[in-house]
Amino acid sequence: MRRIRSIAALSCGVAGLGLLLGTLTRCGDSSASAGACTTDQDGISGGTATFDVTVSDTGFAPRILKSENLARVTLTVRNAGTRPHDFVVGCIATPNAYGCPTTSCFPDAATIASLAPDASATTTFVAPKPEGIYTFRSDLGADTGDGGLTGQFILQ
Amino acid sequence: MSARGVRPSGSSLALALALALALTLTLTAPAALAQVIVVAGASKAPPAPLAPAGVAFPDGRDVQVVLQLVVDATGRVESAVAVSRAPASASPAFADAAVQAARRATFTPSTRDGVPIRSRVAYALVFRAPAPAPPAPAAPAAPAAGAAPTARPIAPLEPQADAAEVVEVRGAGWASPRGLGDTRVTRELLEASPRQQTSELLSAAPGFFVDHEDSEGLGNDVYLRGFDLDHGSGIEMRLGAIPINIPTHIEGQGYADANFIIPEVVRSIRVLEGPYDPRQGDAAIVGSANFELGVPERGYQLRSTYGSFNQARVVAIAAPRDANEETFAAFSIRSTDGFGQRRAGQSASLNAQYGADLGPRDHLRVIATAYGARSSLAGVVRQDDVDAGRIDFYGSYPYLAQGQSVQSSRVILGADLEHAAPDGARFEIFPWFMSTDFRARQNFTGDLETSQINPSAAALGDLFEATNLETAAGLTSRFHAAPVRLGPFGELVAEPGFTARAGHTDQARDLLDPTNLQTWDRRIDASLETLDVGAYLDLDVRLFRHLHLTGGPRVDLLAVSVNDHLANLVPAGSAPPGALPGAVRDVSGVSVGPRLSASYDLARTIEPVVSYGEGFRSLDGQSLTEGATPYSKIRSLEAGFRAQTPGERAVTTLALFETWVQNELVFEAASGGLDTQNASIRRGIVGSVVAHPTPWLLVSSALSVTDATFSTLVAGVGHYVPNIPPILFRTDATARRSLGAIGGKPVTARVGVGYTFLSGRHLTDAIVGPVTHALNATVAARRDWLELGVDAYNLLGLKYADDAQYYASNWSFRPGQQPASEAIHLTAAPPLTVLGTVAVYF
Repeated sequence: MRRIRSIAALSCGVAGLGLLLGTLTRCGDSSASAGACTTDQDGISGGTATFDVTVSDTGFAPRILKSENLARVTLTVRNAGTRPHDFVVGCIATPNAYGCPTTSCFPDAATIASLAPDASATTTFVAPKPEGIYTFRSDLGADTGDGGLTGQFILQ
Repeated sequence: MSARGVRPSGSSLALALALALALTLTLTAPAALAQVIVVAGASKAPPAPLAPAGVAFPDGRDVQVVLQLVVDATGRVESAVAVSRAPASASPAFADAAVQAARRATFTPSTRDGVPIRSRVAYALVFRAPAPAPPAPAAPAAPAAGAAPTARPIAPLEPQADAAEVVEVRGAGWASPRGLGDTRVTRELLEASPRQQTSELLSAAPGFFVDHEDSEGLGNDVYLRGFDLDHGSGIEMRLGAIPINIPTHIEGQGYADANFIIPEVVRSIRVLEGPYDPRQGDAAIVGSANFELGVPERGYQLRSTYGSFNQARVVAIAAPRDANEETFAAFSIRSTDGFGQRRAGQSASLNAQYGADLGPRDHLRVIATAYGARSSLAGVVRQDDVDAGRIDFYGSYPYLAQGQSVQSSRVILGADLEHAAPDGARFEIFPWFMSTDFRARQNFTGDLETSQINPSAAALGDLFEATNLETAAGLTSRFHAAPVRLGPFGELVAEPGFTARAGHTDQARDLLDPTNLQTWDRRIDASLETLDVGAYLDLDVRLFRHLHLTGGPRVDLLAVSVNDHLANLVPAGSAPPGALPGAVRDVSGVSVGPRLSASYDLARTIEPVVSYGEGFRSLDGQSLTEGATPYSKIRSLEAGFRAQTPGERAVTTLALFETWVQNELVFEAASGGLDTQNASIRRGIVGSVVAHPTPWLLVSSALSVTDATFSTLVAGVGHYVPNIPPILFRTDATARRSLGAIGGKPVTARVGVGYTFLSGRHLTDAIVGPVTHALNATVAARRDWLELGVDAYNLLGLKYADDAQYYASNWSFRPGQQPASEAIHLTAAPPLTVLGTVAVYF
């Protein structure tokens, strides 16, 4: 009787592990499911962020601005150079096959028009939802050449 | 080292039991017949029946008597006390008989590596009522009125499949198993493979894996049932009844670092996977782990370890021989240069515990610990830099990576007073006090941050300093009532309990300049007053012999007051005109959750089990707004079976589970901590086998297959919960044998291996990290007072990451703020590590 019980118990154990092993392939599938655009990996958004950026004739300082996506951003740009500069944030591609937008851009309010030397301007806007590294630049005249004035706005 | 449990030497115990029962029961038995079915492990050599005996069983039901025994090194029973009997209506003669029998018995003493030791054991005896006799065909002669019935011989004391289990009734354990993942990990399994820190001991529990990604002072990550529990948050850990988790810790709510416990004094760990016990409180999202301390081998020990990376450790344990195994004082100190750069660390810990009987039914245990640790941290390395050969896998970036470190301390003082009533009821009360201090300086991203107080300050390095200082006190009390009879078909045991925890926390998160460690931005500066008052009612019902229902409701009132010193200050410009910095937010809420488990003893070897539970976890102080609920809920359901061979030589469990989490908690590189995120759901299967195919071989294996996804399946939101390995496989195997004798002294040896496989983890929906293989091994031999051992970690010498995350950073090899890009960031696991140990027992 004891032997029968032993065999029964071990059989159940083996069967159970067999069931486990049988599910490995399916559960180990790492493909992304349809319907997710995979653009917000940390799941956190919102909040506020404030930046004071100085632009000179040689570059922005700081060169990197970072905030959460959908954050309410207050941005001040001061021109410390000898010629006019502006502040424009470019778009990023968000390719997907699920009907999501294929590009993501900052709102128009994020753009600061040409600033004369020693001038400054402040704008407030809500950062877009798609996370990524957006490039901002001054796109005036000599600022657009090789080694132009650029920086990065990171949304995470 | 491991102590084998006390085993009765069959013939002597049988003789004593038979004599005692014959004497006692014959005098009192009016009706029924008796058999003695004794504890597991009795000798296989059955003694001859000595005498008939009769007994009065209450309504023909079995009677169980739980004894507390102290057995000396010669096997003689120093003391025997009947702690309880069930049902309570059973005659006291059962308890008297059990005590008398035990006192006259001679046991095979507990041993540690072949050396007999004095030990304290809980011992349960079941007097099994005979089955109703079939109708007699024809009585040869009618007995005279009032004559004693004919008695059967006492059963021989060979192991029985339905023998009473030896149960530990002292301490803060559970009364009965809750769910399929409720196991007690004994010392033998804890030592099956090498484990450097106490938190890593949890890897010995089926389904668990605990990493060791950094040096001293930082809570380990725990993988269990599809969760990556950063710094132990999400699993409720207790030292006895003292909570280890810190509910509102800045590194993650429920932060738990159990490494203040010296591994050598951990007697056992009771683990429970899932929130299926009403005793589980805050942070029991995935389960619980309860550390019980004790030193079975009495005397003094001095252990010295030295090995790779100039790692040295000394442990001293004093366990007076005239005290029980609960009583000891232990001290450990460790120092290491660490592998690779910036990983040096030091720690010291003191654990002391005193246990004493205040009388035949009262027991006191006092525990005190003090711990301090500090280590340097190397930080992360980018996968692309490693692949390009720009940095070593175990390297550390120049400039911005400097200044990273962690420092923590903890002091605990607690007591456990237990009173056992004659009817089997127990009352326990556990007051405790704890003070913890934590400070971590970590940089995960390089140089991306801008000050939010002074936005003109930027690019000074992302070295976040997180501090958390908490002083807390609490109380747990419970009344484990005597069993109550439910008519002829069942029995009920009720346990109402009460818990309280109050704490004051000061926490901050600042940005430091790595070159001079001066603060250049402040993100969090808050004081928190926390209160958790909980009550539960646990019911343990057994119906129709086979059906077992357990569980009950738990209610917790949580109140948090957050004094945010930076309110209206961070970020600059956000304060209303005229507002001064600072604000107080008060939140409170009541969490109500049932915990239920049902099992059916189908054929004594197979037991289907279904469990459901609702747990909760405190939220971090920063996410609490006025009037918000201060906790998030989880719900979990499991179903499966437990199967075992007679004598429990092999125990198998298989559980299918689904867990809903109201708020996920994952690593956030930008702040260097954990953040509360969206709801998630986990589904999976966990199977385990623990087998003792021979007395000298122990094998434990577990396989988890899980799927962890965010519930919010919408465009723009990640689907997979990051950093969860879909497949987790662990196995430990250990063998212990006597190698003969040298100079008349026995030599015992043990070898053990532990292997872990983690499948690739989702770092993003599209990126899956590499698989992980980790192989550890240990070998040790002991002769009399001397033991030599060698432990090896990462025996395969593989370079694998304890942690991998995908995010943007601008780590560089040049000073100044460089362009950022997204990459996989790795935290290296230790390379091949070999440690030798010399231990002296005296």
